[in-house]
Amino acid sequence: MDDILKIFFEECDELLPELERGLGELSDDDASKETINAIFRVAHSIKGGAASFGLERLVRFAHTYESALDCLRSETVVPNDEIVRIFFSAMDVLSDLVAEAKGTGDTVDDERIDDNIKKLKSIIEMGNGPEEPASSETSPVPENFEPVAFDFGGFDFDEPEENAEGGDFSVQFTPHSDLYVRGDDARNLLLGLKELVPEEHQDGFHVVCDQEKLPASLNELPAEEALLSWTVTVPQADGQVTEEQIREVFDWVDDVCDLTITTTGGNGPDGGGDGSLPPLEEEPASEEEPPPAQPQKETVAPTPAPKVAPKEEKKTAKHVKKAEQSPSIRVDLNRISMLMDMVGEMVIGQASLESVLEKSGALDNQELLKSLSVMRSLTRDIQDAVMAVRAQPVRSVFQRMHRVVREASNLAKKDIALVLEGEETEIDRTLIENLTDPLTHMLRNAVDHGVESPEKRREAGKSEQGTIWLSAYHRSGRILIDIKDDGGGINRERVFQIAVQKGIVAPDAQLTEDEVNELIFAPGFSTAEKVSDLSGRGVGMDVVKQAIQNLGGHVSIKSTPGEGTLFSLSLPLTLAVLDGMLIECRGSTMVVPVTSVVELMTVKVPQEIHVIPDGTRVILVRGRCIPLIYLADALTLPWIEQKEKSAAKRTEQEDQLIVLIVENEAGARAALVVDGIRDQAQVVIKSIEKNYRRIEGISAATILGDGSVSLILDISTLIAATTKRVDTRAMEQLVRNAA
Amino acid sequence: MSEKKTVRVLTVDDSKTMLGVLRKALVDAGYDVLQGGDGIEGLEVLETADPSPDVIISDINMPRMDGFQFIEAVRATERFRHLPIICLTTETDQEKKTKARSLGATGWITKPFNAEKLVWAIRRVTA
Repeated sequence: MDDILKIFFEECDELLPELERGLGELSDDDASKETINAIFRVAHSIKGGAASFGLERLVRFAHTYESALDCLRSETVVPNDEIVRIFFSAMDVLSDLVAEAKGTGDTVDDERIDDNIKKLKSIIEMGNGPEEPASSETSPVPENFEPVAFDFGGFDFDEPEENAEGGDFSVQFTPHSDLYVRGDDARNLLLGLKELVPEEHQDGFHVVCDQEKLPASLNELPAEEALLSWTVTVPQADGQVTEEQIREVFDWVDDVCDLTITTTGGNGPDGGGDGSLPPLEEEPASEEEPPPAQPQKETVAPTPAPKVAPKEEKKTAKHVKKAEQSPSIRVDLNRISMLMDMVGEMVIGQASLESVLEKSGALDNQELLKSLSVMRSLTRDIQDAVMAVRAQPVRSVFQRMHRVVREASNLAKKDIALVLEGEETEIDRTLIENLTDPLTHMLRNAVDHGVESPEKRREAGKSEQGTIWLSAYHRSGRILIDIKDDGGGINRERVFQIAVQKGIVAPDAQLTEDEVNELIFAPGFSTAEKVSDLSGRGVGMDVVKQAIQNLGGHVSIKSTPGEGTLFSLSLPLTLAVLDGMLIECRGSTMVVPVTSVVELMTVKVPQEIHVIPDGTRVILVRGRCIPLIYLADALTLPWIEQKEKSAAKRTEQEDQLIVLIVENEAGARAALVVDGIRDQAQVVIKSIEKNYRRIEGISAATILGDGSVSLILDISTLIAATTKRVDTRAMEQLVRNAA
Repeated sequence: MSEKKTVRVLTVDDSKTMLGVLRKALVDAGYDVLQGGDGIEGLEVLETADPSPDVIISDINMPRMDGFQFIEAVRATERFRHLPIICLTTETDQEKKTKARSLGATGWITKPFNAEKLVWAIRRVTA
């Protein structure tokens, strides 16, 4: 059962964004009948699913939601802004109720539920008039709607109903030929009647078959006509069998049979069999329709029947087309990860094959060279294709941002429209999962600090409604996500002031515009004049920046006073491969992620190296004091026998160090001293923790083209280890002296 | 129909949850279950399944091809003209049922339902 429940929640995760999208279209006035149908189906599916698991709170709410949507569907209510707002707000409740049921969210406040139900009901009343659900304030759902949790246990039959009257029912049943045409069977109906009768009253159950219409000769028998009818005596069994139950048995066929139920005082006529069907059928006596039978007893209060849309056919056709374009299947993510892994191995295998062939001199063979290059391009294509499988459109994350902006602007009392662009842009799934939090924070920030209050906007001659654009697109193998607002732009003076107050920069520091913008990302910086409900949740933009950097990305800002601010996120397409710089250190080749490298340089020894009192060696780069990290020492690599060639190189290096200026997420820099720089390459990331154990300073491993294992350096840890013990005051002193 | 033959049920619903619930209930009751995510998939399964299903349980409100169109399409195929089709839906208004019936549905089960109701409905048309 749990796995079905899991499917249900997964389905909800798919349905809710669909609902949001549909409501978005409603608010844009371009909602088609199909859109309304689609969102109705969402509420409907959630209700249906929730009912199967007895998730009562969710069922009740979804039911009201569905009923309200039904008014749109039946066109008894025309959506306007207010109505769409109600649906949006209730959608948030719905999604919170799903989270509550799932156990990932808090219990939803009853008052909030009631409030939303009341509003939804106002829509229902608009559509149906006052007669719709006995609107008791306490029960949002018609009393006769009962969520029935699916019971997979044994079948307990209907409980006997109160009707303590003696006597029998006499049921006259004459099926039309259509009853058989439709796939039903008179015999089973008779059996159904029999099943109503409790064991101890079975003696009173009789079936009499009327064969009068049968032709005298078998040759005259019309094959496709119904010729038989039955009279069934059903004992009331001290009220355990009711007329309603009997009608229910014939519920499906009340239009293709003649049915009369009468009550008799005592035992009915004798005769008949036990319900077994004679081999012949009979022509129905009349064509006239019997009165419609009672609907089943769990009937929900009638909802207005939606008209069959004249456009229905056309739309269905459109849908069919869409579906044909992209049929999809569900695949376990692990399988794809495994595939990705294997493709990684294949890339390595390809590279190692090439290097072996090259060494053996076989590459002079043109034929071999040709097939090798075909292989190489195939390998690359496969790698791309597998990455594409893991890729998902950013839509799922983007869609969630509507709610973020909606809630944030309500709190901030601002009117802000969120415009999404490039939702189809695809990105690795892992990245998508990790994007939600940073994006949420940045959008809240944009609502809170970016867009001005309506009054200020009016004064500035702008429309009162602010706009935030969230767009995604691909550029040079990376994905870029822009968060742009049309607000007042960054107040650089204030930012600088605050940064000085908080001791982030010196009061006399000369900073470029970009550098001032960057201060927003400094740890401990917050421009909020008051700690608001929104951005002031104890997380600063520094956390956002770090989160993005953890994903191998970076953030940049552009801001024009009076016109707005643009935050640009640049992210790799996947976390499975990484752009690395291959460096040499004591004979080992290691990988430094390119994203953390600021620049490469050589440092003259000893002229450019300073030693501060605590013994740390530092260099000065454009007025900044940067501590050196001797990688070999930091990793405690053993000395190895250097070959003659490299020994010569080493003497050459005596007076010149090769350093990589690297930066961590917090902006702290260090100069990594290495023996040499070999190459720059895309490497496949292999977990070292999973295969060995965690090692300080190493984030993962990879396999190089020659088949050797190479370690990927964890720059953050290396920098942190150094800056922790370094005497910063001495470094500042050094900078001042140098100046 | 021989007593031993396992009854095959084709379930058609756009809700994966519902398909899951149906499968569990039907498998527990000893039925063989086929699935389709909407009318179009339902038709595909119906046409390709070997042996053919003995009964269809279909949702009404589905994207692409809804239950009504599905019923029509099934009935339009000669060999499925009398195949029992049970609509599974929360739609309770008589009009829907009447429409489904006029298109050739055998009967319906109203959601929410329980295993007993489900099995009874299948037994009724397949026993």
